[in-house]
Amino acid sequence: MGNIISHLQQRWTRERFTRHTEQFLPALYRSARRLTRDVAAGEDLVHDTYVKAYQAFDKVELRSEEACRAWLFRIMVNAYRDRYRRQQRSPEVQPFAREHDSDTNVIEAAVSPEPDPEVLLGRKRFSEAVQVAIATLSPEVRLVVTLFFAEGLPYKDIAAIAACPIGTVMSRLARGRRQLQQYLREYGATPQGPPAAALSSSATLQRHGKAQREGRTP
Amino acid sequence: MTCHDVQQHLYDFLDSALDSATGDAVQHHLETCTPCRTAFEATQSIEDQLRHTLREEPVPPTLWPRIQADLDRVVPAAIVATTQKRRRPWLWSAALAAVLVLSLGIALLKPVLMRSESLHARLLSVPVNDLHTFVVSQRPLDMASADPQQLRQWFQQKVAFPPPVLPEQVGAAYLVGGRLCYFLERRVASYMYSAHGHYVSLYVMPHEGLQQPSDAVRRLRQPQATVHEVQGYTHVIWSHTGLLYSLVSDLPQGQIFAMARQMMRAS
Repeated sequence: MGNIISHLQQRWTRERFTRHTEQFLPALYRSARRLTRDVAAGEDLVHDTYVKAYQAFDKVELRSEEACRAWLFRIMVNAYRDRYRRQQRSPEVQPFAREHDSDTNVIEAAVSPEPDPEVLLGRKRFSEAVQVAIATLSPEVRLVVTLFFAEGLPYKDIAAIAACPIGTVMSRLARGRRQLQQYLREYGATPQGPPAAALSSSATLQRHGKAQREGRTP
Repeated sequence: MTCHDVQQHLYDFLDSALDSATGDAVQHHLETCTPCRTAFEATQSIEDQLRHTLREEPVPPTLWPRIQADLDRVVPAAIVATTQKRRRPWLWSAALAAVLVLSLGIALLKPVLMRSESLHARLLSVPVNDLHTFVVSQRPLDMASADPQQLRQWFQQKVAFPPPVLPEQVGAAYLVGGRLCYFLERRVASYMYSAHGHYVSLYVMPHEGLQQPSDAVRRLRQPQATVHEVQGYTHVIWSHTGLLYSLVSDLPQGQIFAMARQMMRAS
């Protein structure tokens, strides 16, 4: 009798778990892939996340989709940290190899001579350069950058997932952005296509000004 | 505000995270200072592309089935705890409750089990299995053609319903040909598109005897369009003028929804 009840309960839990969590698979995989820098390791991380989440599913109270997403991401981030701690034996943020470059003047970098248009890298090479650039970030900076760019999460959600103060999120993000900008420019990986340069500068600026006045986050 | 100040605030300005007064000051400076505007645009350009690149990461189709298979072997902690508690002295009350739960469970599960055998349930999985088999086996298309009219004429001789003319290009996907399938007890026209190395299949079949599944993970705005996630694929189903359309792909959902909307308009 106990087995039958347990079986029914398990089946019921399983159905609810799938219904609530399956929709977050693409987001979790996307982030896991960037965090681990490897397809197979990314898959393993997502797999472990779902198994851990399922084991704890009946013990948590999730009142919204956002809460469920944040919960899954927290589990994944903890699993990710466990992994790199095991690998590096150091939970602290590893200093970025080119940390001393991080204060380079953004404006000077931007107005320095652009590479010849013929050597501008195409979209594919930009994508490859992004892979390398992200991989050079330290694990904690990579985590914040991934959640910000790949998932579009606001600072406070990232802070909740990464279990750190918002100020830390902002400083890590700023560091990561500077490093990515510098890396992508140094390697000539200027994107081709429709970016801001194609828009009129005043239109671009107006867009930002308007967003600010309406108090919207990115 | 100086160029140095603007540089300090550049990322906050990009994120619209500045207060109104500082934001206006940065904006005014950027409108009047060409080097700062160039820097702003270059930074924004790289970040836009970065965002786009990082969001393009399709889930491997084998991942969700693998997770599902492993979940079958895992017992949630709460259920383990409940099972252990049941050995305590209030066994009789628990046994009575268990009988009630069991009766209720059987009553609830019966329609579910019956439904799982029906045509309706197979509608969700069969097209996905068909596309997956096609991709894995690397079979050729029955008819390779990027010409919508030519494809329609080819299908016209094979199926018992008027095949629609579908667009040559839908979003980033291009028409590459067609396949004739037979499942759900009927002949089905499979319009094959290709995007970023992924196949997208639109199955068109007579609606007769099939029901629009009700257990969708979400619905599109268009009437009757339901979205399902099956074995790592996204499956969008809708019906129009007596035909049932089933769009299957493992591309990111946003792209699939945009394609479905375009196809709905075309069909």
